[in-house]
Amino acid sequence: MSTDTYFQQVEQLLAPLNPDERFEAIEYFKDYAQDANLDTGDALVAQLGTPKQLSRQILADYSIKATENQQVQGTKTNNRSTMRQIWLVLLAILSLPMAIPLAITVFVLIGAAIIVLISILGSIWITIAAITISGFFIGGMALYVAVGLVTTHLMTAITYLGMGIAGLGIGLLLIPVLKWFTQASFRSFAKFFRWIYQRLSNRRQAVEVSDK
Amino acid sequence: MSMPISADLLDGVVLAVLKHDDAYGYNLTQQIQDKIPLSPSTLYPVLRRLKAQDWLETYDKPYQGRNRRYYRITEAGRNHLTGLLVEWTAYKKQIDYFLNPTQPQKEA
Repeated sequence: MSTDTYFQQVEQLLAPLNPDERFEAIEYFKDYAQDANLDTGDALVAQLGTPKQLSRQILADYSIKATENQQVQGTKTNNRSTMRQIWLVLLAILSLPMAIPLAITVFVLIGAAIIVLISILGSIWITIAAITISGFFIGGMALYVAVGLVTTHLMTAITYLGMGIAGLGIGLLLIPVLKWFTQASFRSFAKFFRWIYQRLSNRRQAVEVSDK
Repeated sequence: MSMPISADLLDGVVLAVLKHDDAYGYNLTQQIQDKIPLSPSTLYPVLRRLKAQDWLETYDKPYQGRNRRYYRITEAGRNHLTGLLVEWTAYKKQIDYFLNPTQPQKEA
């Protein structure tokens, strides 16, 4: 078998591909054969496999669709790894091939969505934080007043003591809520970015498929 | 090596080699085969995929009366490589914690 026959056979076996894809694959391996000094059919078979094996390998890759490994996260995510995920998704979005106008629109939309999300989550967070801090502050003040009054006005002192303890209690109760809310915000943020990325990459894959 | 190399890691290896210098198919295969067992036809689908993602681009250069196709990493490719490196470092640390516990472990 000559090298020409070898590549003719590969070309025939690559019939399912469109002409561009077929041409590009053949060119790559012709290039490879010449650079590797594979100048007989036998040398080609020894290195690249028979025409059938080589074409099967090339075709297999085309049939592997978007079933890219959906990574199963077995480990507990903390805020830092969530942040890293957000960054990776942002980088991935930036590296997606898109027409410029579409890209600008998408980035503006993403930017707007991020600002809205941060504002909403941020204001809720600040409200909870404010109640927590004022709970501690009022509680502390009331206790201080109670201590000052305890010798002269016992009943007023007891009232202030009650207010102080209630204030501290509210503050303590809200600490876990604040913590939970912070983590939940980070998580939903990461989810949101993953969702955007999946939408964008689905779109791209749809384009690739329709090209065939 | 008996362990299969994942597609993501092979992407990373190819991008890392191209980060130093542009290369053509055979040359690239040789550079990687030098360290990792690789069949000669492995890289074609990888290069095709990386190009489809715009992580690398191609250009032709005349060589001994024919055109040789060269591969060059893009800016997006460099970004992707940085991302892969972060992931790989974290993954390696997780596995090393169990397989290589004599190494001093730094808390993340």
